Amino acid sequence: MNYLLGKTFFLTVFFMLFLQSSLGLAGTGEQKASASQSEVTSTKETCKSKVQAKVNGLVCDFCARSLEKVFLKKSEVSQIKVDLKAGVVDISMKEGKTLDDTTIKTLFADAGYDLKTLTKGGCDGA
Amino acid sequence: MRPLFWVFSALMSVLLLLGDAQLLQARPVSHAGGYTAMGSMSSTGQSLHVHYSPSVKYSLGYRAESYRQWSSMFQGAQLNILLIRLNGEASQANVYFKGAAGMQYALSHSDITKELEPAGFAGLAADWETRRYFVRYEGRLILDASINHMLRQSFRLGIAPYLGDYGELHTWFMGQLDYITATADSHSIVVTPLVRFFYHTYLFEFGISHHGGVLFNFIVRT
Repeated sequence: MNYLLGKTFFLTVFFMLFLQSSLGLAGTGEQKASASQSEVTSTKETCKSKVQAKVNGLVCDFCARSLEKVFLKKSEVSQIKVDLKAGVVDISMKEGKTLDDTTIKTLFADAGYDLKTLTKGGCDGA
Repeated sequence: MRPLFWVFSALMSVLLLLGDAQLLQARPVSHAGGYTAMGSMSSTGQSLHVHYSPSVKYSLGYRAESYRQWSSMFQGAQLNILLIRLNGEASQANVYFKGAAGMQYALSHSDITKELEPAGFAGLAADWETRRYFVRYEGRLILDASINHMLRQSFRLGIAPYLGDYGELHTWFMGQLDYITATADSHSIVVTPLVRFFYHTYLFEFGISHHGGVLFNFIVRT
């Protein structure tokens, strides 16, 4: 009986945490909403700055998630894409917005990773 | 405050009846502003650790853990500090300090108020991983006010049979060796082959030890 109670509690805690994250009740939803809003915004933009960063230390999905969380907190950033295989992070800025190199480097450091190279692109549709 | 303690105590006491705690893996510190919940259930005990990382350098949280060696339960605050991080082009290495302070009580006693005593632990964890390979060592010295001590060491090796990209299901095959020293002449060794599934920010591990004990670990990060 105790065994079953313990197992039930443990699994209940686990699935509550799982559901919480899946449904975005603890911040994940905010990001999804932000990302979704960013996608809508991006279709309206004719010009959007892009930055491509080569990053050291990208070895797992926790790494990618950390970068998403840290960069999407910045109002200048509209979208971020992480390519684990290439160790590359593509950052899209909102129209007319930019982040200086020092800030970008600091954001990578805040997420726990080392910026290796930074390449600033042009504008979509330009 | 006291009712809250009793609620936690009751819930975590139930968990202890399942077995014993295992040193739970990887990444006790998240990105700045990140929350993490990690749980472990195995033949050596159970643990639940929930923490918040104000910065990438440290995290603070609550920990509940049962020790089969002592038939006891620990609850307290835990501090994790990232001492070293080495980011390679395709690898990452970390060294962490883990320390906790709280109260411990015997689960065999019917009135735990008579068994409460200060307890805590300190330890180091080191890991190195690529997208293909994983190596980790962790050692913790657990102490209580009765000068009991337990040294728990864990060593793990892992390999990923394929490489997935972000958002895909990652699978790892791993082997873990736990060496637990409770007294000078008392120690136990547990070998556990396990499989890890890593999807987005959810990590699950299932394994069966050499003496048939079931291992289940999870990590959820936001």
